[in-house]
Amino acid sequence: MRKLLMGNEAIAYGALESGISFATGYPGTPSTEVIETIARLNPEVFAEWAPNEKVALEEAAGVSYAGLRSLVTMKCVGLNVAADPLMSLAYSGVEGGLVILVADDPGPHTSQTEQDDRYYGKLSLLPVLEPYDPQEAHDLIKYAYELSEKYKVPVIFRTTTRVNHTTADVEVGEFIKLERKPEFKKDVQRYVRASMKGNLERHKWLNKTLKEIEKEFETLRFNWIEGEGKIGIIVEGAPYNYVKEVVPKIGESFKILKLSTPHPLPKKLVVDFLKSVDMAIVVEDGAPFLEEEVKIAAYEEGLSVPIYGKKTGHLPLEGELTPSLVRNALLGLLGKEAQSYEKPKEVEEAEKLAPSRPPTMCPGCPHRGSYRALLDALRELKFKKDELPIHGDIGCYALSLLPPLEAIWTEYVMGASISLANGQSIAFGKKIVATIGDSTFFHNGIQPLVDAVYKNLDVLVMILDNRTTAMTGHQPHPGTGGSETGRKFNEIDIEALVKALGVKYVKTVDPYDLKATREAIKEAMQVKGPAVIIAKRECIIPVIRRGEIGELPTVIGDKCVGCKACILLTGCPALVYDPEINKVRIDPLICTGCGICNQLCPFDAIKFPSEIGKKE
Amino acid sequence: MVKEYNIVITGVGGQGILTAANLLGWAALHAGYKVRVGEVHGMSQRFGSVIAYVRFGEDVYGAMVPEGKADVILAFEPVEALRYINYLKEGGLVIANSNPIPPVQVSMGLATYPSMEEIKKIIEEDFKGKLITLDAEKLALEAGNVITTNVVLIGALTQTPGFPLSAEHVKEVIRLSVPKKAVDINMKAFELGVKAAKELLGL
Repeated sequence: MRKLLMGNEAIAYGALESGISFATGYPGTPSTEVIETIARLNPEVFAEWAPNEKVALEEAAGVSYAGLRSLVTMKCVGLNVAADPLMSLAYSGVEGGLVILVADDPGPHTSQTEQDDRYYGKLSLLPVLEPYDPQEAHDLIKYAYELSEKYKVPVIFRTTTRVNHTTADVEVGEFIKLERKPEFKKDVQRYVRASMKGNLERHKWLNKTLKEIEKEFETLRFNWIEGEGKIGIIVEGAPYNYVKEVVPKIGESFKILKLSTPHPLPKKLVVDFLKSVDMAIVVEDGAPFLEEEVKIAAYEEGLSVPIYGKKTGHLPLEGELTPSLVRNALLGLLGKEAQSYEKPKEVEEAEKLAPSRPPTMCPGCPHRGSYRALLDALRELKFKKDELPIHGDIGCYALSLLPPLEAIWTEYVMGASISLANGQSIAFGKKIVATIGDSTFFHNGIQPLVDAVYKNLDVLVMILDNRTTAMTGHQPHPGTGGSETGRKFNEIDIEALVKALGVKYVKTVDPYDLKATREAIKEAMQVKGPAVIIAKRECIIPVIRRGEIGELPTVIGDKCVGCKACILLTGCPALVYDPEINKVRIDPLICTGCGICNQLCPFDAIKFPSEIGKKE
Repeated sequence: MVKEYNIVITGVGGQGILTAANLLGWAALHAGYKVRVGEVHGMSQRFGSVIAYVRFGEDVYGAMVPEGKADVILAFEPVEALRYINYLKEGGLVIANSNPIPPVQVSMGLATYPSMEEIKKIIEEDFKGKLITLDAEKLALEAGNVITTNVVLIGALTQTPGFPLSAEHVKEVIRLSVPKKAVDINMKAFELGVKAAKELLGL
């Protein structure tokens, strides 16, 4: 059956054709659609989100210990969170196949770092597989389950954005259901890491297993040699596509070794290839991981063939590869002139003329109200602009860094807003503000709040509860009680949870109500010790999808003086200034009637129809 | 069968660009081509600038259209045609929706929005392309719903000289892809796009 599938959908098909029973992870671009696709195609599989990647991997391990197949998905930085169980799980191994899909993001397009998670394979002594397109992703993940069960180890399945989010024609097969009865045999040397002698034995077992896997990779059908020539190209992942496109156009012959197994490297295959060429270049997305492995293999064999790549400056160490970068590197090896990396003047001119359009908070986004109220409350408390640090966290609300709000000072890993505020309240001896979303709070925000209560640290934590994981496309989380597959789950009440921790000041407000939110913030700022405000209002996108948008305000022309205060205070895309008549108008196609701008107009010129004529 | 055909689709997050890219991908697949559709999800949904690639043909491997290799750029918003104009091949066509969506920075007075004349000059003089513009929202409303704006633009796209897929074939794929109750207005939107492009291209 041939279908047009996104890489992530192809991976979901491959996992379902492998008979998985369990899939979990934490949403993170570019990995998110895998779990969603599994849940949509086969709701019998327990495909549900976990609060974070560590919990996800441990739950999958529990399933795999019982002999069933499981899948864990995450973005590149997710494996940092799951790194702790990963290391010990490698020693224990698995029974049912366990595949860890980790989606790296060279570019980066949507990630805080360009980290290359193939290194986790080396660190944990686990095999790493990487596909080059959606079809291979589909086929390779099926092999990953065979590999995992044959050698009883978890398999790291590394992808990059250009595979996850490329849509292509893919040949898929039938879903299967494995008739397996869950069974867990007690084996303390294997599963209890408290015995140092046992740990040493498992380490030996793991290294031995890795050697056997290397042998299997030497003749694996996903590794092959093609073409003839004295210049070799060793290529892995999405850049194989660029090699295939540019090589015929260069008009010289190259010999290509295409690999899907960066770790462990099939050394004999690589060394034999190197012996057959005069020089070689390693082409890969991310860090020079494969290049280093290839060079180690060449050194061990005593080869002196020149090996080029990112470390030799033939390809860049940062950013993702493109067909032109690959073409220029190959031209360079031929001694031909490469095309300049410099942008032509015309391109620069065109780019200069196009005003930038970064993503913004949507019209009706409740975070706009939260940050507006926070900034105004701090001003009313006589703080100057940018005097008091406001820590941000991972989610749509990080867009508050852009004008006009320019609110947050930091944003780097899930939950860090609260820990950073904790640290700074210790450093400065005064109240520091943290802002964190609901899903992020459940991911890694609870522990730092526990610490704030434990040490009575002077922090104000604003939990921006928009009832979803919005940035990645609206996944449920424990605070919503929702499920991907329609299973009945429980809703964790954030206010009750925070109160139970012993936070003395806890207040839930509606961020659309700017005055009430401002007043609560001012009150909380006076509290000594930790205070929590829950700004609770559903993300506007699901509201729009349900068709629940109510009446929309309009600008009363006589009253609008064109001061643009509404635009300058909110940055709402629905507010459009018309210089010809010196007035603002509201775009009815995107306005959602949140009423935030109404509350901010100094001339009372923005009104809902139901207000007009009632009283002036 | 063509060896390589490259379409770049640009616009503003929320305009239905990814849907349009996937519809064209389906149409190419149904016509027997090897297909690649490339897009980057995530932050781009939030009213930011969006680019998607549709490529088909036997020599196509990666999803990214190389710079200077787009046969046609379909822009859902005028400035978004300009921003990605470096993808256009010499002599390529740009089909742009004529309705500007000013970025927030422009509303705030931090940036200026170029005139259509400036945009046209860059496309046609600096990049040796051809620009046609149509009011796709207006045609979509005429068809019955502004939501069909992307179908109007796809209709126009099928009139690109040398476009490898027939308008009838693309139309049929759209007919099969949209909800039953929306078939009529989508078919009308498609036809209005075809008609507008024919007039603008003098066909």
